[in-house]
Amino acid sequence: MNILTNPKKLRGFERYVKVDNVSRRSILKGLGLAGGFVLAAPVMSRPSLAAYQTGADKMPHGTVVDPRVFVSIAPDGMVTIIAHRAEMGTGVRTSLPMIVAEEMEADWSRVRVQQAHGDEVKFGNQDTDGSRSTRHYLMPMRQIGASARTMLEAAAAKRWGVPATEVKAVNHEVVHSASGRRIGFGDLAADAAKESVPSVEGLKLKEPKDFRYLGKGQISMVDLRDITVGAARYGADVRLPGMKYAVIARPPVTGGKVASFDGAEAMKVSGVEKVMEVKGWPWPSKFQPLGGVAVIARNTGAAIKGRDALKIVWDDGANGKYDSVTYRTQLEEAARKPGLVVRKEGDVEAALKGADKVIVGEYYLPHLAHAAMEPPAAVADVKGDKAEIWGPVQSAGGTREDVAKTLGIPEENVTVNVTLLGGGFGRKSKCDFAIEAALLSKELGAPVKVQWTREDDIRNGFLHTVSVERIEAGLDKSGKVTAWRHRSVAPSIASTFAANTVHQAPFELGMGLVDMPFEIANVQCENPAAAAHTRIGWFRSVSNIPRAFAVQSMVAELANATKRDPKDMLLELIGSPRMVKLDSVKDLWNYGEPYDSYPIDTGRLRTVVELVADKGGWGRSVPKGHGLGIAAHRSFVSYIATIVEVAVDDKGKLTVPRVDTAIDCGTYVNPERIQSQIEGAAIMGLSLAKHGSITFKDGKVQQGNFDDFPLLRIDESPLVTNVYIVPPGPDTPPSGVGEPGVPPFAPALINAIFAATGKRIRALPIGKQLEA
Amino acid sequence: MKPNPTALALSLLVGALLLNAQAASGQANPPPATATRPAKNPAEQSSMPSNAPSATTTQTTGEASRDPTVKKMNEDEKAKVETKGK
Repeated sequence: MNILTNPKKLRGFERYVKVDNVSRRSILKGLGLAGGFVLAAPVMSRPSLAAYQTGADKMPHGTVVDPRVFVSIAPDGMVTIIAHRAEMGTGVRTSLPMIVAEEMEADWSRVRVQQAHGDEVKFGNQDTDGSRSTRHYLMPMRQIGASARTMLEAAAAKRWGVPATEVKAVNHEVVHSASGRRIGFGDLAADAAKESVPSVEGLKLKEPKDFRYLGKGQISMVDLRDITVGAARYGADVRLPGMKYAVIARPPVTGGKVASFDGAEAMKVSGVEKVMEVKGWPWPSKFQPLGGVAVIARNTGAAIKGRDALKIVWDDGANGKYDSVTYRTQLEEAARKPGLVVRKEGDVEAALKGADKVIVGEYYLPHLAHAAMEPPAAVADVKGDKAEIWGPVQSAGGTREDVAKTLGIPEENVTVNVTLLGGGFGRKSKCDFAIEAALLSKELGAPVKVQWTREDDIRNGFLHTVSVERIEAGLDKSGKVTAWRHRSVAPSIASTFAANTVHQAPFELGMGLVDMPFEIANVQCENPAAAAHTRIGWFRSVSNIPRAFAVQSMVAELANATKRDPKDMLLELIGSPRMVKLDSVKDLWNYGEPYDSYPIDTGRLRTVVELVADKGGWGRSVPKGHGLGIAAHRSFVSYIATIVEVAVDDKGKLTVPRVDTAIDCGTYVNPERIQSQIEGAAIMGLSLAKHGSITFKDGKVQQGNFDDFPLLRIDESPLVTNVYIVPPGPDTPPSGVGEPGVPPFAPALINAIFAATGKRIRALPIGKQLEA
Repeated sequence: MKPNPTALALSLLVGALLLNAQAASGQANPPPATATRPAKNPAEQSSMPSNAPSATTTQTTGEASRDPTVKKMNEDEKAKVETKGK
């Protein structure tokens, strides 16, 4: 088996490409002449024709497979490829253009990348979330590159008067081997642009053995240099002439509003120009702003000082008594009673009653804040019935749509320029901060930047849900698990846009609850009611985090109860290699993917467990105070297993000397980025498990900054993280990478702590639990 | 390679100075609120007495918005996530 453990970079191959927002005008300006590969032909949405089906075409605006939209070639040969997804550290605006370059035989050193603005009619869906970009766009991007290559070859063949079958594009040139003639892409660009776009059905894609870039891990992120030297432009870096700076005091309780305010002291702060109440939308209101009092100033610092001087009396509204301590008790009580049955196989009640032994585990995970390094910020310039937005948005198309609806102007009158994101984690899929800027710009008649502070981000965001997961497992006399009842109680994301929501939506239930893959005769999954009292949002890995924590902790608890090796217990529960059938689940949600292409394949889950056990040295002897834990989870249609080694000293200080993770994400594009995502997931997973907790009292978030919502520091980070990527089969579709690394980390960590200390932690964060 | 004693001494000295600086800053009082570090709880903000019921797992806050644009946004988002999930 060819296992990639440490992809090497080719020295000197890294390129530094300036990434700008694209506009047709800027492309033409860059070309200098109209002789390049840019057409004004009408754009048509064409579905991709892949050997496997994905959910891409079911996304809003589907996919666009048209080289005229994504590729341009200047007369000097410089190829410009459009990145239509948002860059938040995953490397997506390198990986997708790289796929195009691969198929069109472009030399990456002569490629530049431009960021698309928000226009889903033109570019297809732009929601950069759900670990979907490579999954949905590998094949469309290959087809776009192959189309461009075919057009270049056709142009060369015509010029030479030879059949197109006799020419071939090779490394930025088209070559006619019989005559030894060759011509560069730049010289062909104008003629190639006159060729008709070939049909997707007739395209000849490159053989994987001929790939120069795909799967090699030799291309650095195009943003890497700018990020490293501080030249990258984020949302907060955008400045326009005459721009005003705003911060907003938002209601501290979700659903609250301003009862009264006095801005007189704020107006005395040097630089403050205006104080005004801003509109909010009563709950639930999707991603609309919370409203509050805005302070407008000549710079952000003055605006913040002015906000500190505001006198505001809030009407907290219906959520004014939300209290995390009380609510946790209620979640626990709900988890101990029957709830809405969302999966049922066999007779779990009878099986539990007849079991030789029943093991019960109740696991708690508090609210979490995204806390991306870059808090939300956006600039808006609204003039009449036109608006232009600049911001770090994960959903450029969604932002365009929501800004247009809020302002009551046509969508085509809104331009959304996507800056680099300083982390996203799902927070920046919600465009409330861009709408705030647009509303203020409209009101003031000037460009406005709305800057969120760290406190705003933590107190007024869209939090990860809070949950109690209760699992009861029945064992027979031989130690075989015969019954599994999992009750999951957590407020739903749907509560932000659907009133009276008390149960989780199918897309949440499908994240580690009803898709549990174990081979057990009697299974029942239940979802008791849990109303939301704050805004709940998508968070990296979403419901997989609490579910994997509970399920994989329970596996280790069962191993301990039956004196089995945890890895052996895990493999026994996964059972035989098979495609799991979940006929009892209504509306099974499979990450939006067709089940035929992406079934729950226990063979693949077993493989990552066995691989990480082998490479990670499962069972190796470790020093006193150390322990190993293992966990595996399928999410975003990828399979991941993780082993964590911990060390706990006699004072309870926890360190993580080593992490090993195996991932099967199907066909992959850039293993260097996969490695980075898994390393990042280990750091984020450890950070959340050790420290992550947002709590409420009197309806208000009690934390505000990194002093009381700490992130992992460098001295706490895992010393070594090894990543093993399972080579794909010939037709294995690509699957998610950005999120799946997080869910198995916490249970592997907690299981390792148990192995090291005998202490079983069932409530996160770990905090000071090891010091007792 | 043999270590250079002078460089080593300088390195240790720099380390000692850094440690002292850290120790000194650790003993200082927390920095006051500034533009980049606002007060934890704005002093001049308060809430009216709340008549809200206790927040429970079963009591929703209901549909408060009557704005037709927002109602449509909510409905569209619900339909969207049922297909694409996220």
